[in-house]
Amino acid sequence: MPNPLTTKHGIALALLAIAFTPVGRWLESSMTSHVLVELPLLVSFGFILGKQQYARYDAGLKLINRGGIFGIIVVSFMLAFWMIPRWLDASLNNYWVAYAKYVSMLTIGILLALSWPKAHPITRAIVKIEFLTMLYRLGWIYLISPERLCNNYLLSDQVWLGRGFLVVGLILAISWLLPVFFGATFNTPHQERKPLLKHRGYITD
Amino acid sequence: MLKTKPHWPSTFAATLALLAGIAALAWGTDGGKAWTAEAARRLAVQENPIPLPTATLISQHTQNTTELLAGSAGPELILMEFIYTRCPTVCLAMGAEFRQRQAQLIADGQQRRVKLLSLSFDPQDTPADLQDYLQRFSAAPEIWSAAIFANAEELEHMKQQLGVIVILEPKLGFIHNAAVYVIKAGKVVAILEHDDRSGINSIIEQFIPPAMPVLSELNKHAQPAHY
Repeated sequence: MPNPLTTKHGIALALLAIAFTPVGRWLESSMTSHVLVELPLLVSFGFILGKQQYARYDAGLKLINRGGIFGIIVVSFMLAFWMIPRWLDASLNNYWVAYAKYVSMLTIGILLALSWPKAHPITRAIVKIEFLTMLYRLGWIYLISPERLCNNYLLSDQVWLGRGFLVVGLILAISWLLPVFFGATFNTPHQERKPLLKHRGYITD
Repeated sequence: MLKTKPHWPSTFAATLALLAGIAALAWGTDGGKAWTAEAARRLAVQENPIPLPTATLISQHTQNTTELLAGSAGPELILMEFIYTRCPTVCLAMGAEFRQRQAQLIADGQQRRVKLLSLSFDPQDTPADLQDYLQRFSAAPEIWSAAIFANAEELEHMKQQLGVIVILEPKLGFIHNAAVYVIKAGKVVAILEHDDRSGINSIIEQFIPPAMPVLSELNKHAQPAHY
């Protein structure tokens, strides 16, 4: 069982590397790697941290995070904010915006780790669908926009990011749908526990 | 009706988060008006004109022309663009637009009150290059000037103050936004797209009210327009 203190330090080190060394500048040099590599990397740092420290972080949020709804709403708006081209651009021009971005991504990861286990299958399905459609929408916009949306990146950068969004969206859609065809939705333990579905007479098997 | 019991602290927190999230997005886009950095900066300059930092410029005649940008000594309104003379695409379109604008200013009799300035951000441009550029577009010297920066630091400072970001692409040259900066009394009062003719027209009308119809008719007859 890994020592939680070591994981925390490892993540802090990686975060400092991204924020203050050329590693971060290299990740941010292309629009595609900035959005599809650096941001998911930071979110996964937060996610790992959240999983490691679940009991401790959840103790504070348990009261207001029933069903993970609060956490997922916060995550959605934070993500939407950093998808605005203006703020992605600003994070490259201004230190404080960059720090805010790093903290936001960590928070998104932590909240996901805390909220996802509590989330009902319907909540999870809604989140997945909305996330996929967000990827497709953004991908399409970045692909076809004739004007440069970010002052720090070229038009060609933008087009590559658009393609990247659509590819990631496609991969996720396939990987999430595949289990459905192989019995993932038959008689899940959650459904057994939820009287709501039984009352409505849904066939759970 | 509801088979589940609401958990009020969670409902409260979720609603708060929803409202806060919407407020944050509204703030982050200036009420849905500015989704890009460019749109944000153009919106901001209308509320808060940006004072121009001092800069020593060298015109196409290799003269120091700091008064071109200064407040009291200069013309009433200056339309300024950032260009570089080796530009294969955008700057040519910008030059053509300026030529059109020059003709319009002469036709409207405003050529003494509104001046055009093409400022090069390329350290490799020389006054001779500027002269070539201006001649390519039949620039009238009293109306349309071009200049380079004498000092690299002042160029960087100017770019930073005005929010100009220039990317050097090895194959494509400099990538930059094609914007026109409207300067009045040493401050940038508006930033517009270079080919936004109606926008620039209304800005000029806003700051330079048109002369009385009788006077402008007299002007048209008294001075033959020359390019």
